[in-house]
Amino acid sequence: MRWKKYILPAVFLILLCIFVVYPSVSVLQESFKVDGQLSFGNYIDVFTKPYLYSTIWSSVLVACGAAALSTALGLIIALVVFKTTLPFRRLFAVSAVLPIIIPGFVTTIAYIFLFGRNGIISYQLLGIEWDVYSWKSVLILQTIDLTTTAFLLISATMVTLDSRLEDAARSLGASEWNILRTVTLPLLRPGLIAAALLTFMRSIADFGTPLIVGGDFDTLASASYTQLIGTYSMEMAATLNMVLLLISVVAFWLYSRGQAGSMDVRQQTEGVQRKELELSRPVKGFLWTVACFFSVIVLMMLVSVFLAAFTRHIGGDFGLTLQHFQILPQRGWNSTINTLVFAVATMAIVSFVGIVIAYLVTRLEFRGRSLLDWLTTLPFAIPGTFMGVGFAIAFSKSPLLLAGTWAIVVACTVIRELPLGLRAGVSVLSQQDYAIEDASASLGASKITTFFNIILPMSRPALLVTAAWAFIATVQTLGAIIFIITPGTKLLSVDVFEAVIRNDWGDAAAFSVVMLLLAAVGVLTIYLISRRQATQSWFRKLITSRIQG
Amino acid sequence: MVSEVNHQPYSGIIDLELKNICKSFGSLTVLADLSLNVYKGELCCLLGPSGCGKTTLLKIINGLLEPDSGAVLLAEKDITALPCQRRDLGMVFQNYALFPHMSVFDNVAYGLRRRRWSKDQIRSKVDGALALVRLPGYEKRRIHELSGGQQQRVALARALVIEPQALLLDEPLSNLDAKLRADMRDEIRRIQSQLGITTVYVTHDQEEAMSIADRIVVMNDGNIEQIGTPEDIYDNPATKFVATFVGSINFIPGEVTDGELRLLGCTYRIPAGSDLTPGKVLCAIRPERIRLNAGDNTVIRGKVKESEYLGSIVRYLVVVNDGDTSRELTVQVPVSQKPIGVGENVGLEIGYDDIHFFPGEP
Repeated sequence: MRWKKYILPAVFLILLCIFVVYPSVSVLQESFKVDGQLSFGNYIDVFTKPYLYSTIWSSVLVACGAAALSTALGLIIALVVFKTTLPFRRLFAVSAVLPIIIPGFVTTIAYIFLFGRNGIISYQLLGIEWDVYSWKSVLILQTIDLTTTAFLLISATMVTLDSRLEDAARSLGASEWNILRTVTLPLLRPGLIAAALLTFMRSIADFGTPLIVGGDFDTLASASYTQLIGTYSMEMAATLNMVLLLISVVAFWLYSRGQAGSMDVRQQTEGVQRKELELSRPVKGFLWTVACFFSVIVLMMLVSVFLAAFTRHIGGDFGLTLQHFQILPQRGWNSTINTLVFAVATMAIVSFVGIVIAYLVTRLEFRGRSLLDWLTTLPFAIPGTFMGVGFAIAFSKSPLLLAGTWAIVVACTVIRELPLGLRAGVSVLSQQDYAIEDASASLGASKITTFFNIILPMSRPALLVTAAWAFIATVQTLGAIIFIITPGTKLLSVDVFEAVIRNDWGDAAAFSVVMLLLAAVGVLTIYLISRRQATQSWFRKLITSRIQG
Repeated sequence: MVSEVNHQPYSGIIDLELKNICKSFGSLTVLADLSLNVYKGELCCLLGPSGCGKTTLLKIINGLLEPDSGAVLLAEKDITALPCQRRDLGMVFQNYALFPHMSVFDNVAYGLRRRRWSKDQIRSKVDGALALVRLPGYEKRRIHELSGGQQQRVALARALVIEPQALLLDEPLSNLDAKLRADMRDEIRRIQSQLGITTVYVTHDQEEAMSIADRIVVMNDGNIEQIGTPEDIYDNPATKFVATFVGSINFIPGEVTDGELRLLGCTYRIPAGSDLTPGKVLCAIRPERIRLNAGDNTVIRGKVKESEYLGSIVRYLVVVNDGDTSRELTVQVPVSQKPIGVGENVGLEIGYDDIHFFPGEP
């Protein structure tokens, strides 16, 4: 009987070894190869050739900049939303969260529409001619994109912050500004640190933005793509990704250490009171202006994408048209259907497997339990391009020749979203009272019966939200799968990317609108399936864990 | 309600037997070689402070924990190796552990469905169980719509409906407020005696144990300190721990010298047949056993330091001179007695029969 409990963990461990360990090891192996020979040559090149090692600095500097700026912006918007009664604060919150359902490239396209060489604002309105293709654009775009992440993480900490502590400071004679400085901000520190590290990780893993608006500016992630697609150097792509992985893992390690340390602050969620701060007018004015500016930019970007999709030529001819959408039926809706199928499959697998693994690691005692937890979480720290290159190397040769199949794309998206499913599962299971499962056992139910009758139904709200996020994430995913898709498994996100690369703005916008609608419909469907309070509170909670993935 | 309860004498038949149970978590020994018999139809209370091992013991009985060594026998059958779901035991959890996503009916029916009963059988059994706990008509309610006391009743119905060999209750009343706690206590006792079901009841509340139990097992640090009826435990505490844990008590050092006990300057003749040996001895007296008077012709005298009015009784803290040292004694008298002001002098009377002795524990 004893060995039975090892069956399920063993199956998962084997799958994780195939889809996480094996590709990673493949990348490592490849990075030590020069023309098929074992060599340190690639690493020597990376650290001696200026155009290669400059990408390391570029990546780190831009990531630091984007992390700092987006954390500051996120904090400012969170303060306006939760700590003031200023007008439009709900609108600010919505526009700070909106980029979640906007695919990454859409903001890039919109940015070029608005601020590019022929941009509506920069050229047509202000008459400025500037070179939009530079590191500055990368920094600006990533900051806008990542502010969402920062805002959600900081808000999550802010809603658990007990205003009675601020009242205590008030009663001791502190001014409102002093309270903000000595009580509120220090209590938000775990959220701020988490936000800074996660935005750093996301920025450094982003390869699309530098590729499209970076011009000559390259980061590790974008360089690894050009190495592979441009010069067909899998070895150099692997090496650059190894360096990228190292930086990302360090950030992730710092992040998980910070999370563990901040438990005591985050745990207090019950009986928390929330109250505004009565900050002085200039301070409020500053905060409001910044938040407003950000919202306007986000909303403008959204509008401009729709404009681009439904007008003949954005910036030139604003005549309404549906011509850009003709490309969809022309392609037989191929990528739309693929995107939908992959997203649904990923969503189903991630939410179910996530809760099963969460059950195994939280409820059962077996050897290799923490290994299972760790291996499932690991892909969270692995940059998308690394994963993509790993899959490309590992599964394009025997014994596991899976390249070009649907299975490999789904495996890739599942592996990338599973950390989220696991975390959501662990968080719901660790909140559940063990006594409920004990009660089920004492009434005669086996572990499997208890899992299906008690644990699954009780985790339903969390499962639905995980499903929603896995769906959106899969609709938008690009970084990893761009390396493994074939014409038969094409996705909308890849279409957008390719259209952008060939300067086909109208098509790109049309694809983006479809993606946006898919994501919105997906989330709405799940939201409507269960309109119960519990699900909605899980939505709020899970928003924070989703952005990590 | 209490009057309805008929405290049954021991049936003499052992229903649940624990033999030499040992359990450690890492280097921490929680239960050290514990043995206990629970008789058929009795309500046996495991009483002790938190961390004494009583919940661990209950989990071992229930099969949620495996003992390191020892055996659990239920109706003469060794069930030590059986998993929880195959043991014939009903369990009520501290926070009820009701399934929040199910209705009252589904909660109660859960165990019957696992036993693959037919629909009609389940309906009538559940109806019966809900009637037993006085919640008829609550089938369709959701759990969060119920009050704490009602949830407690559902938990009880759910545990009893499967007609277990024995019922286990883990601090079932600790989540209720004081008034409701007393009501539910009587209710549990009523149902238990009506069904005559062997019951193990874990609590840290000595008053609860005293009022509900046929027998109390006082536990401390993983050991059984004393087993006995409530009267036994209170009137003849076997150890210093039992004396302090159950009720309050005054400890005063005394001295035994050839046939006499000296206590607070007072001398008592030790009756023949006593096993007190000469030397120092720790004496213990319950606060309500000390009588107060005007103090004109008593040997033990003291001064009231504090007084506490508790409605039916008054509790005094009296300072008594004992040779070179002064001792503080708690004394409890009925409120009907003439009140004594703080600072007044009083005389104290302690009867020899009211003194408990703990030799070797000065």
